[in-house]
Amino acid sequence: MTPQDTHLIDQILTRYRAAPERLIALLQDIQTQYGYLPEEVLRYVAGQLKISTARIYAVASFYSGFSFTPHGRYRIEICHGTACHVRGSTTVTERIREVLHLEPGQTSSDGSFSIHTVRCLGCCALAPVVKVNNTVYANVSRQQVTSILEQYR
Amino acid sequence: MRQLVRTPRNIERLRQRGEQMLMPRVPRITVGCATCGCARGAREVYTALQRSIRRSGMSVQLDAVGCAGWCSKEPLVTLQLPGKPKITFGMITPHEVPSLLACVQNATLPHEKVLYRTDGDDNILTGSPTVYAKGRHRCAIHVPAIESLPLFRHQKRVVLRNCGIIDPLSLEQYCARGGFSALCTALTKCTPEAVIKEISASGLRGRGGAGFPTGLKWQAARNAHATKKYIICNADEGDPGAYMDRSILEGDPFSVLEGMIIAGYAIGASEGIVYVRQEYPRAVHTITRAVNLLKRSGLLGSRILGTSYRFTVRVVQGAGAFVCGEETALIASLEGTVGEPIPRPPYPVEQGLHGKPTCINNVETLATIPVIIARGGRWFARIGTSGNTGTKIFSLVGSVKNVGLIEVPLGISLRDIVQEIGGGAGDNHRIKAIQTGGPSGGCIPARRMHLPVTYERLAAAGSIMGSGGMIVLDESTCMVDLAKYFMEFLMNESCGKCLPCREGTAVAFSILKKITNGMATKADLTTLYAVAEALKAASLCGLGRTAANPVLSTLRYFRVEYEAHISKRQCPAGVCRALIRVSINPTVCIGCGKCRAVCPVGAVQGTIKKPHRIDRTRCTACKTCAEVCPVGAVTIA
Repeated sequence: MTPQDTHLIDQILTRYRAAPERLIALLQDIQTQYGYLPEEVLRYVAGQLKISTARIYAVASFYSGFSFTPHGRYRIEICHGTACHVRGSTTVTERIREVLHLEPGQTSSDGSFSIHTVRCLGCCALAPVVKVNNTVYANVSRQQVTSILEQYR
Repeated sequence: MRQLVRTPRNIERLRQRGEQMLMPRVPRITVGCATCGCARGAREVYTALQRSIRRSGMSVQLDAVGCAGWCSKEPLVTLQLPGKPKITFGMITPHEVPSLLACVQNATLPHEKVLYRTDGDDNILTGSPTVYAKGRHRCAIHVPAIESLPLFRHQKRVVLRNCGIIDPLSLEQYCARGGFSALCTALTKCTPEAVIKEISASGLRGRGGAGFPTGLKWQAARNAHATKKYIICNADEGDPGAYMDRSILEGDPFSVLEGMIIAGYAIGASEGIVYVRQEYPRAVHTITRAVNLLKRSGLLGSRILGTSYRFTVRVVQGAGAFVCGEETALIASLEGTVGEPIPRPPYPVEQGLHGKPTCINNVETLATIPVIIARGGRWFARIGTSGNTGTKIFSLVGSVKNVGLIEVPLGISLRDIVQEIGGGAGDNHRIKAIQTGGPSGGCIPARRMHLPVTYERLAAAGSIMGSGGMIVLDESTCMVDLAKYFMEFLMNESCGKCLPCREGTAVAFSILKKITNGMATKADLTTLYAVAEALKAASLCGLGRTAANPVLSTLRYFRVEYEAHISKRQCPAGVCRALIRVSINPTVCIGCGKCRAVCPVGAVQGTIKKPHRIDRTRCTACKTCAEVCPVGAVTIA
């Protein structure tokens, strides 16, 4: 870790008064900062909180919101809620996998795309829904996938 | 803006200012900017309006509001000219902004995008409606009134009273709709016991799913002796297919916070926590800002409204675990550990967060509280049916014409919801079943649509009320595939602490997978039943105990489909890929080549203007060819 990293993490720790019960919020802030949870940062945090790295790993690996690897510059989330499922999210996912040659959870080698199947995004009336970073695409059909992805290439 | 709200009189002043904002002397334009609206481009419409208004120098009040509920027509824009009925337009694009503003200037309306007019909005909290226009207005004579539309006719918007009407972060507009009047009454005129009595009299039951009487829960929390107590707003809306909590948080966050302050006062809590799922960034943002606004205005903190009552609220984001909707798992997550449930009792109202009494209420429940205090428990109890009082919000989605968020009195029949409000299935489709209650719920077949929507009747039919997801299914949904979908969901979301749930969901999923692959035998069905019983009997928390519901309810009503998969190796709905064959009928095919162009695996062969054929060794049965075929030559069997 660079001195900047240490400074940054110390700031986050101060924000939560280095309280282990605020661990999840703390990890969320770290993830917002780095896009994922880097191992050396977690080791440092464990030391500062005086808890084991294993405990941090247990918590971070339990929640699907945390990632130990960096995700793509464009994070593609495909909603697999019930409404999206019955309206064909499986075929949309399949098409995205075909076009990007990626499996859910993977990041492309150039770091530009990562695809994630997610639980309900709460836009059930617009199913099936795909989210790229903060943009939500509604009523996505299999045929539209290429044109949506084209915008980010 | 820093204005201290210390007395009921301050609230009154806010209310007066807010009324001028809701009924301004200048035209008012509102854009529905909740997540669903934004997904359809509401932000762009809002920005375009803002820019055009600024450029033209017009005097117009532009507000971003929450969701009005007609999600299939988003983005919704409402135009309100002084003294005239409010007109709502649907599916507006930025290109239509100039013509919209032209109607403001000429007081005329373009008719093609008009949805409905509103002559007045009910004001649930005060009982006296806000009237925009009296009598008939020439400009709106051909526009249907909101009450005449099937989508709204059967609705009673008690909890969604402000959604789509007010700017969610305007204290003034919230007060103008009667906001904080209930808080004044509770804090200055009622004892905590009297508040609980009123809630008990209303018959309100928790809207998170289980339907436990809120008054009883509060009483138990009040009776618990402790130096510190907590109130938690459960906004970890995890049920796929339900989004009412998101909509309330985004459209009317103050109503939830007002409910929380009242709840805190009633049980004697000094700290509140809103636990909201991270998948709802806009809801997180809105509720956080609302909390900060209340802190700055003095409505959160010490000496609320000049009384000795002190209450603070903080917002905590979930980290993506469905099981954290379960209250003991939620508490574990708030304590910074893995979200695993613990056996109850002790119940959280006795021993919850940090071992202190903790009362956990759902978003919708809390947003209902101000109404009960303002209008009285008996008023509320008159809505709905005995034992199932009040209204409930449902997200009516799936294969139905009018998809959206609706609020209806409990006891209404499923048919009224789906056929009347929803307008039935889309063209050329037939409703097969209605899925309620998310992964803990079940599927109710179309022939039982006469069923009244109450906690008990839905449970007797093998489903549950749950948080209010209502997914309408047509003949294109395979019930076995749906059961498999829910089981996979629960298998992934099982925390893994207790064996029955961890292993049971996995075994059930593998059997369902076998059935959809056409590899199962009748003996597998017997095992499936046994696993379902074990899940129900032995799981630690609600997630596992209800995990079998989707399987059991589909087996109960759609056993024929399971048998078709097992004995005939057929999927009647044409969904399960291992069991379907896609082919082209050569007598119908016109040889246009569209299917050949779109086939992702190059399985379609043929020359132009000649009948095409599908190479079965390559075909993955994705059915893209069927979607593009202009003459319906692709058959799925």
